[in-house]
Amino acid sequence: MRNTIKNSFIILMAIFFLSSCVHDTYDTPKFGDCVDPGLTKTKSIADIYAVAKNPVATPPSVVPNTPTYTTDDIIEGYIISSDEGGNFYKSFYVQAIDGSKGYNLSVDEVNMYTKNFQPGTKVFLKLKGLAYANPSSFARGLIFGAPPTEQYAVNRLPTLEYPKHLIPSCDAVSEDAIVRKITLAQVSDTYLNTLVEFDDVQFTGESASETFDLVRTDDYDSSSFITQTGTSNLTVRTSRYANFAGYKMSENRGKIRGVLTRYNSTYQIILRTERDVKMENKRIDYHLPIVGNSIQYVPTFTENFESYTTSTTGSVFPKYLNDAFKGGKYWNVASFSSNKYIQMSAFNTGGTNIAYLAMPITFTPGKKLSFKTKDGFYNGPVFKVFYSRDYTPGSDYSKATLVDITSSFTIASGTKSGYASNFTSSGFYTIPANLNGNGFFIFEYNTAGRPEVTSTMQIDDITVN
Amino acid sequence: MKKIILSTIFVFYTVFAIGQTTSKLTGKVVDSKTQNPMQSVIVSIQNTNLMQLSDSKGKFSFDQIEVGNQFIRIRTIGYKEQLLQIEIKEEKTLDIGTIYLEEDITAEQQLTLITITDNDLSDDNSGSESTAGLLQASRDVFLQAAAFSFGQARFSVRGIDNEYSTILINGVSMNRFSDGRPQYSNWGGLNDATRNQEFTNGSAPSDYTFGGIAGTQYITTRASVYRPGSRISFLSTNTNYSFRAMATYASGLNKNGWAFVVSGSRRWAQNGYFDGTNYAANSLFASIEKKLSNNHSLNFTAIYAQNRRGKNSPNTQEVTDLKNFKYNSYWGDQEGEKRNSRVKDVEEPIFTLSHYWKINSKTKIHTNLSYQFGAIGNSRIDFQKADNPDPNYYKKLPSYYTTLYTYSNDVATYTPDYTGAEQAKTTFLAQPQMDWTALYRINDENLSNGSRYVLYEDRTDDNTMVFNTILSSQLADNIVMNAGASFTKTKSSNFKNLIDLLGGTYYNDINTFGTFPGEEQSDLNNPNRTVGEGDKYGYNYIIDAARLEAFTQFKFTYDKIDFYLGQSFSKSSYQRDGLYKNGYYPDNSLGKSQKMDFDNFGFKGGATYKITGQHYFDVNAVYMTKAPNHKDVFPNARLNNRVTDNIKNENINSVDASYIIRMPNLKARFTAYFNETENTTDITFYYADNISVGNGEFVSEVVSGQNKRNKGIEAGIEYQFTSTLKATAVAAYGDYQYTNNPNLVINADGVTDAIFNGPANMEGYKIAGMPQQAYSAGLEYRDPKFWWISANVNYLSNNYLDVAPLLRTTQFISNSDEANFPYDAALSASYLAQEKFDAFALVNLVGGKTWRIKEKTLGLFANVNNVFDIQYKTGGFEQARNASYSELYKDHTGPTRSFGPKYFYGYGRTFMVNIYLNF
Repeated sequence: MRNTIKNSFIILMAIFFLSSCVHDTYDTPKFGDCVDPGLTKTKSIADIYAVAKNPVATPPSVVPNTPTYTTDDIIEGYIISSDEGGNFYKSFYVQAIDGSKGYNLSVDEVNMYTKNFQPGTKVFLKLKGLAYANPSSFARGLIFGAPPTEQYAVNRLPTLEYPKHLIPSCDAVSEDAIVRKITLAQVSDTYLNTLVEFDDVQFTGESASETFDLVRTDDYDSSSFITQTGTSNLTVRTSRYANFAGYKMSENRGKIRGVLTRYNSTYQIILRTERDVKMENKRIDYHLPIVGNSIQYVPTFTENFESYTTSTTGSVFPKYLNDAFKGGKYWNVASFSSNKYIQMSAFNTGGTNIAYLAMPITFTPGKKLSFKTKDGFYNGPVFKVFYSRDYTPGSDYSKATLVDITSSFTIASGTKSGYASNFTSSGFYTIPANLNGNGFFIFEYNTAGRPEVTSTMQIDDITVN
Repeated sequence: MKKIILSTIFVFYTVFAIGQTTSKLTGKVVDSKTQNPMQSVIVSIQNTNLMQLSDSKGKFSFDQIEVGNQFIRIRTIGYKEQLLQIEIKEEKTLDIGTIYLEEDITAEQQLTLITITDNDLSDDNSGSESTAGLLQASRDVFLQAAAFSFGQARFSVRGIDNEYSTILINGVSMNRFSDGRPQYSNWGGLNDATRNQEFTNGSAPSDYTFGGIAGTQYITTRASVYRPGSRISFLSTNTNYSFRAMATYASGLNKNGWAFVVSGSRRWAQNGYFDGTNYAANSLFASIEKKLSNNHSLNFTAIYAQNRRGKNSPNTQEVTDLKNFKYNSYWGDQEGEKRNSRVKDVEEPIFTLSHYWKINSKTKIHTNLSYQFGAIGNSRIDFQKADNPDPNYYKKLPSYYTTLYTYSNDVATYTPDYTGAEQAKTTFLAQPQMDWTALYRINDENLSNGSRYVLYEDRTDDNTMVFNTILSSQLADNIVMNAGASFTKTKSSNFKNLIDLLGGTYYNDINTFGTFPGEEQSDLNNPNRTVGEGDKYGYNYIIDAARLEAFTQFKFTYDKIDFYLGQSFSKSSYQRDGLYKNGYYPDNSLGKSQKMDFDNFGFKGGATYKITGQHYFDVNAVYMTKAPNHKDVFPNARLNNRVTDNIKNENINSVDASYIIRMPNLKARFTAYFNETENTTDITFYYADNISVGNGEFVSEVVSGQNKRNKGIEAGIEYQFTSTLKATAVAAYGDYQYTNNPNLVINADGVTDAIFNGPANMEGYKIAGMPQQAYSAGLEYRDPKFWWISANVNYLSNNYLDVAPLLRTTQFISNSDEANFPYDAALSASYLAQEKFDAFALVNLVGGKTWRIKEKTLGLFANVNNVFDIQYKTGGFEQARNASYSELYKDHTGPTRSFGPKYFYGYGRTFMVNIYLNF
């Protein structure tokens, strides 16, 4: 009896647990084969470009800024932008396979890259009913969209409307096959609205290690710069809504890829994602310290800058050192109302700047340092004064001991619009009894970590006596 | 204060001396039908702690009983209880002879109740369930109706959340520290094995714990208490599962002092009542007892219940109208299978070692050491840089197009797009479910850059160790003392666990909403991490919680009046330990938080006045404080160590008074109750998609200092017309509402200051989630030929929508676009009025029959609930987005609301059939 119970129990339990399993593993879905839309192009992008440049009016109407395309034409091209990174938003770029021409299309849709519109996909565009704007306006190239209602050249094609015009094909190419590798010097309308790649470039000193969108707290997109030779730069335009906008730009050197666009006279490259930057080589410092050729340690000196010529690329001071420590801007001699002085500003540099002016001195206790300052377009403090006893001319300032003596001085500040009318006397710093030997007084202009600060600072009449 | 409490607890020890004269009592229990002796029947002497189990010959024998009139109670599961009055004479042995126990054929109902605790009441991922406890084994007619008739409509006794009830298994509390609620799934499906239960209602005294204000449930799994035998059953239903198979074997205590019980069950459904709600639950139970001597027994119990079920979505009226009330947006077809994206998985075995020590005939000590570990997971889809995969996403529905406004020069114009709406409707109806194939396709296209969609689960892995001891002692003829102490330590690990890359090869553990450098990182110590299946990511923290509790209780029994006094003291501490250095909170996320300590005490008392032997007047009152649950102490525990401002203990007071009739033909109870809970804190999280309250995607809402008042009347009457026909009538009239304006704080990730901090006008709003009124009338016929049938009609009303506090703040006006949408007080009032759900009537039919085949009993039990297939709402909540007058105005412009409330529905007509064999 006892055994019967046990056996039946065991059998029953086995039945329960072995039978009737609830299915909770799933087969990987099979993706349906792509169905060819069966379309062929009737025109090339270049054909439409030509038409758009010389729009023909149908009398009696006058030529509108944005005509609507009326014939049943189809163009084809390959997608080169991606909204994966959020830098392209409801707008994307398509180019001919040979890169001869590209166009832009505005659609009211997000995450297009997950909806069969990835870079490299060949797409057809049915033109009838689409608005197109003159490529010459703002030199922006060919753009398509819905007929405009107000301020924009074209409107976004409504979510439910765009699939009737924009049709993905079953063909795709690797974007490596259509990207054109060029140099910064080659940037021109030949490459407008197409995918380009630059090799052996770096972000400028101002931009490197800043965030792609420089100021994360304001309501503006940002322009930063890449450079190949240290002189000519190309704008890298990043939307504040890009999901990599808060990532830091590389400090290295290498490749960058993106869509080359243009706004008026400015060419700009727009990245799809942070992966478009592949920089693994060491960067080159194009802005070395300008070391004067007659550095002399003296107990006293005066400097009113009247003996120098004005400059915008970094004044050469035989007696001093002028260094664009971060970024490419040095202290420059400038002139206003027949008075010469030096000035520095981070305005429009695409990032942050640090510039030093180092003046050799034989520290003599009791002697006094004074100067005058004038601020302009002030939006934050930028100026500091240091002395150093261990700075070696031409070396890295970050390796020297800099003693901050700014608090001894009155520095001009607060002139938010235009420039202060007069220079402000700084007051004095008296060299203390324990400070002697040779060293430097150092003026620092610094916006590091604060790309929103761009105040202009002017200095004149430096005196030690 | 503490000293006073402690001294009160122990002072009573010294007051009562022990000493009385004694006599003996013997008897035998047999089955009335088979005349077979019954083993393991519980025989107890009322108002004492004398209790015995009958031996294999059905015999019992008490050595020391007080002289005088006593009541002897004889009960076992599945049989009608016997209560006999006996007179014990000094130095004499009373043999009460053979007692015949009659099988209770309706008891089968207890073993087949499918509670709706398995469903969810809100949209969040809370680890546990929030409906009333299992009251089915209670004999009270009101509580039986609450369980069997009202339960399907989410009725909750006195409208009190079950965090205020206490569930004990062998004396060990199953209530969680995180939210105070028990996890019923831990012993779900083990109805046979958990049948030995004792209940108290309200704050009435329990022998095992001080308890809360929503009653206690004590489950014992001591192996010798189970009547020997085997039982198998098979159940079919169309509720949350389709089938249940269960088998149980109990050995009874053998000659060598061993007893064991094993039980197992499996419940499953490929598709439950609501679309795409699959169900798979396996439960195993084993308990073994060794009687070491007449005074010592050891028992070991292992409970392992595995429960995995697909959830169903709450839906807006628009979606329900487009589809139907069974529509569930959480599932989608994957290669011919219905795959649910929101699956709850519970697997938390419990092991308990118990020691039963009978010190002498007057005093018993029951000591437990319990260990529970395991995991609770709630899955959902995580996605980045891609569309929300929810087919109910607001932009995919017609209402989005019919509530469109366009702004030109800051002037708003209503621009409904009816073509768009029509097209959205077509698209939605063509693809109303999740498109798994699209998720796999998108992941496949982004193989080299990481999955865009993954399936993950919010995991809570608790490790709990409990030591407790319960003492029961007869201090004097008419005084019984109960006392208990317990220490509980829980380590709760919480993290995101990646379940399925959905065809991809890795997932980027970043937050695409970050603004400043580093904010995208979930762990700055491991930046730009890529994770695979089985990896933890997103957030990862531990909550260490500990609690020390003690209670004493004294019960006094006299001829005319019984009364009791109880007191409790507890000390709780919580501490968060962050394992990730979060990019938003680099200084406040890694490592240990401040340690939060809470001291609590409670006092309760009550009396039963015996007007006559058949009429009683009963009153209970309690005042206690309660530590906040730890989920409310750490308002953003996933990311940082912050502690809720001004977090305080809750104050609870409760009083109830009952008039009870116990006549042979008429049993009735009329109760009035009044409960207040003050100073409660509640934290909710939601995704602030397109919300006006901030740029964070995940918003936490802390409502603190909230007061609630639950008052009402309960009545239950049972009248036996003849020995075969019985009528019942039950009424619950409740009024549950908020009585003050609590403070509300909204925080979003990355926003340092609170987005909103101020009062919410909640006073006068009703507490949501249960019908506040319920009425039932039923008839039951029991045929002497072992079959029975019963029918009841139930009317449930005054169930309300859960209102969003954020809409009741000053922000409602201050964030409104006054220029375009001038404030209209009447309109505003109509938006903020609390929705009251329609009342409804449910008719249920229940019946059963048993057959005796040789030594075996074959039984059939069946019911049809909601015979007329009434469709009704059981709950719902307002969506907190669009929390301003102008946004609500816009949302009300079209024919359907885009962000209207989401509702849960009750089952339509359901059936259940259970066949069982006892042998």
